Amino acid sequence: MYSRVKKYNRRIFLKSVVAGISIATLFVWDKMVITNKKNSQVKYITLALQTNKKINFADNFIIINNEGKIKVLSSRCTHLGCKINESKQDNLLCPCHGSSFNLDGSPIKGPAIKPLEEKDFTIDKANNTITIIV
Amino acid sequence: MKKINDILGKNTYGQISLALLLICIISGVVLAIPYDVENPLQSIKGMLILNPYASFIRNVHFWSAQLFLVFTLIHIWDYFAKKEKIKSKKGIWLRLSIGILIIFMAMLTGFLLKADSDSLQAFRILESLTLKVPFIGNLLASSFLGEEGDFQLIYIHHIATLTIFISIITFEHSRKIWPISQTFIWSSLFIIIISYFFTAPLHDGLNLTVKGPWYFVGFQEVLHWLSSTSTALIIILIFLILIYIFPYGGRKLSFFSKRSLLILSLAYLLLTISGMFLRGENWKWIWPWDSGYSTSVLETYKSWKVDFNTSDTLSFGDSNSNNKESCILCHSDMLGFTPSHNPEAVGCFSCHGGNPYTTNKKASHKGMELIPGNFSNANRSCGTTNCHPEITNRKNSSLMSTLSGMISVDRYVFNEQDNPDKLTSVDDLRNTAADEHLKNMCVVCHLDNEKTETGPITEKSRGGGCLACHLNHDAITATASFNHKNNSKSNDYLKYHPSISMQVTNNHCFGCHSRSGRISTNYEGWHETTLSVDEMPNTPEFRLIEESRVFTAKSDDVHHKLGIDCIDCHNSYELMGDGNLYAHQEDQRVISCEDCHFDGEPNTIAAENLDAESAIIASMRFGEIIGKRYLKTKQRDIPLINTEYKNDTAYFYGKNSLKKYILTKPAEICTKGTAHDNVSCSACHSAWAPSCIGCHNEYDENEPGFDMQKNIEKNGSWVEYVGEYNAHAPALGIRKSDSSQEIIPVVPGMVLTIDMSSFNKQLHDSLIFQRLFAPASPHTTASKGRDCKSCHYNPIALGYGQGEFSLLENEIYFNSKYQNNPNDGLPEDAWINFLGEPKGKFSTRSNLVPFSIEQQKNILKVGVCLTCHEDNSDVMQKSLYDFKTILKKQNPRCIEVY
Repeated sequence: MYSRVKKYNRRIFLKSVVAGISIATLFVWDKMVITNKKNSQVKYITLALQTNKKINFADNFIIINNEGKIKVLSSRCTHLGCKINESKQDNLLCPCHGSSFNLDGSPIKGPAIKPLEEKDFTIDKANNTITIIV
Repeated sequence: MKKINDILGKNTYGQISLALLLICIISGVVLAIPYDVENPLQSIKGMLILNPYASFIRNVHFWSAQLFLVFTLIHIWDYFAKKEKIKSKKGIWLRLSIGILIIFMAMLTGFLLKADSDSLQAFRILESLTLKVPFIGNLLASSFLGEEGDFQLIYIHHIATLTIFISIITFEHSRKIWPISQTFIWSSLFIIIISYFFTAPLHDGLNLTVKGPWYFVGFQEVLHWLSSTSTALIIILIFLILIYIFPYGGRKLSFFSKRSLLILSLAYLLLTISGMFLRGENWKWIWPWDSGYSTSVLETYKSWKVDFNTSDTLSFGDSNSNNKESCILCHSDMLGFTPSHNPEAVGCFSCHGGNPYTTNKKASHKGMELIPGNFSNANRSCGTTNCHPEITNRKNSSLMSTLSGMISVDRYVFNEQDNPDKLTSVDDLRNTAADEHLKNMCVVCHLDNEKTETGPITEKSRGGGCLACHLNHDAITATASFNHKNNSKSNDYLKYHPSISMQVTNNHCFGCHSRSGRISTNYEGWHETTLSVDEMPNTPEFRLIEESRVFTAKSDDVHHKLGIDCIDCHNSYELMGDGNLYAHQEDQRVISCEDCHFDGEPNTIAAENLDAESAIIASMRFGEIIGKRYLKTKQRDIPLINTEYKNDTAYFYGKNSLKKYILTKPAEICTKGTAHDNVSCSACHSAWAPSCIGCHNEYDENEPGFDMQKNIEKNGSWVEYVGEYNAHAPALGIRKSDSSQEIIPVVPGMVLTIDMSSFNKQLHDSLIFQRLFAPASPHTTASKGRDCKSCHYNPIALGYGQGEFSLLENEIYFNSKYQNNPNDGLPEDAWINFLGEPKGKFSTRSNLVPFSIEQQKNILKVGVCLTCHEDNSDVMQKSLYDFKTILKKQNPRCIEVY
């Protein structure tokens, strides 16, 4: 009876140690990934501003110039992240699953149901550039 | 299954999978040598084009991986199909179940490592799905996928983590490292054979269809229908749970698991087939018989055999282009390109298609477009995403594509349509009398008409899509092309490429626009005669066009005299459409005389406010645009990019010639008084306009004909018997709108007879007669306008046709030159009777009318004054301001009519 309890406690102890090491490893792993991402993350990007173009696909963004009113949308489809890189008749088309959005970024055809993410930006008129907050 | 098992003998599905895994691992190790994780796509292109051995190893790696997956799935199926359960330890079975997911991940990471456009999109999908995994999604995505565009982590996990995991679970499961040698040998042989014949896919970067690997396409179809992507993860989890519970559940649970997996697998198979073969661009459903199927679907599966004969001497040399194509290796010395279409910039493939990844002549030219730019291929040549999609998307709205007005008017003339302004298209032509007439006589002049032969644009050219305007041969390329077509042994045509440019010359327009209204010939000062070639005098006053049409010299347009080209006035939105459909030319046209010859404040636009197309064209043609102000049109505010408004002066530049002109205001007489406010510039300044009268049309079933829509010869055709061609100052008519009236030039548009019974034998003695006048823009502008009498005391101007007025006792009499037509009692060349009004159909537009009787009288009232008073006389000049007051002060000797 005494030996069985002892064996049982040892097993629990070993399992607890393994679990502890695993959780600690996971914790460190997670922290490393978060820190690495934080350190390597690009905070903003500066691109040439083409005010003459109504829809401009640049980097991972769609710069919309609707009669002088500029709007920057993420080109990441809100359905599954595909890069939107085509427009037809002022509709932004996702090539992967057929979603489409209007120039406000609102979905007009599924499967996407959320609007495209709107990005903050500043314009440098002197250099004709746009800086987008990533 | 039993039979297959018998055939296989010792070669069980598991054994084959093991053999394929081994081949895949070995070929992967070798493939790592030419593969460059820093520049994956270019390294693969390099293998395909210049290193057939590497390409072959890549094929071995690809096909062994695909078949490994296939045989693993069959192996699992085989296990499920067995009646007795072979139970392994729960831990091993758990790892095996997870192993299925790992195998898919290994395959998928291999797909990502191609780094082509399919792979880049697949990366984003995989990343999004991974991020949806509760609690550890972010950790997994960052640890196993890394940053977009950086393939380091994916590569490491593909070659190490996932491969090691698969190897371990395979060993743990089978207790074997090496497959049976016979299985390995047969598998290797099979892989070698298919690797030779079928090159592993690589997306060409231009085809807009984006598809995952074949085993993922069913899932892509599922995702198309799912807005909630978390559901997709649950589906994957259900698959894994069903597999896991199969051996350990009770009888009922196992049966449930088996049946569920069977149904789900069959459903997935159907989704895979539909995804692979019935989905095209933007995941749109497309049937095999729909247009564009081969491009959207079949082209994405193109494959070719490895060419081990690739010459060792082939090299890209010092080219730094990221757009490596095999075409350049053979066609490297070609000359003639404009900078924007130089192969260094755009490659060959983006225009001509074919296969840019093989040096095998036959394979590389397979599916190639010899003449890109025809509308049948424009969307995937000129209109690809990185080139001119905005234009090719709207080109079909151009009247030069639809021919809406031409078709509608012809149907109206044949009494097949109740008005001449309906929107239609050349694609809507049927088999009616009018449509056959159009097919026989007219519709060859539309942009959709395919250019089928190489060579320069000539006066015989019709259609040709984008090339109709943008193809330019110089003397060298034209000669090379001519020699090639005439069986010369010279290969010069392979050295010289015609240029594709914005230098659209008048010759590009000439082929089509020297017909009907004949604005091209008018502009250059040539009027068509009814002379035959034999009758043509051999003097400079005559010109032969298209080897059969004899023209005689008249005054050319003042703008032609100054060296101004067609495109100097007509802009891209007029010519290539602006996305809106228009019924007639004058509706689509935006340029008008007043846009350049304005009086008062100019209508301008700053360079920074130009639309993208205008800005690009302006900067390409004239360099720096910043700080400039341009004139823009009154209609639709289209910028005139070859103008500049600076220091209170407006300048005009030739788009091709770059000549500079100072734009002049209209002459004082044009704006003097209020009497002519509604008279268009062209009503006064058109020196002459061609007109045809007395044309007869009948159908001859024995006449060798031509279907201009399909470009095929056929028996039977409408035949036109022309009457007489005249050239004189045009008649005038009124174009009405809701708010205004404008006096414009008009010409006999459709004055003809049609023998309907010749087309339809059941219609006995059915003769249609029409006398329709059409609005004209003659393009014969003279700097000096018509004199006053030319409008006010001229029977032609008023629509009565040629003839003479005579005055007798305060009455005007008209004596026509031509006899009255028996069909309507009017002189052959008239629009209306003297002081008469039209009856029935009279115009090719709903908004075009002749002068009313009251208006005719008012015009003639002034005309009678002009029989005594000079144009510049004080009384006539004063009449421009207040004619009524002048009349009240009339001298008793004056003639008073009406």
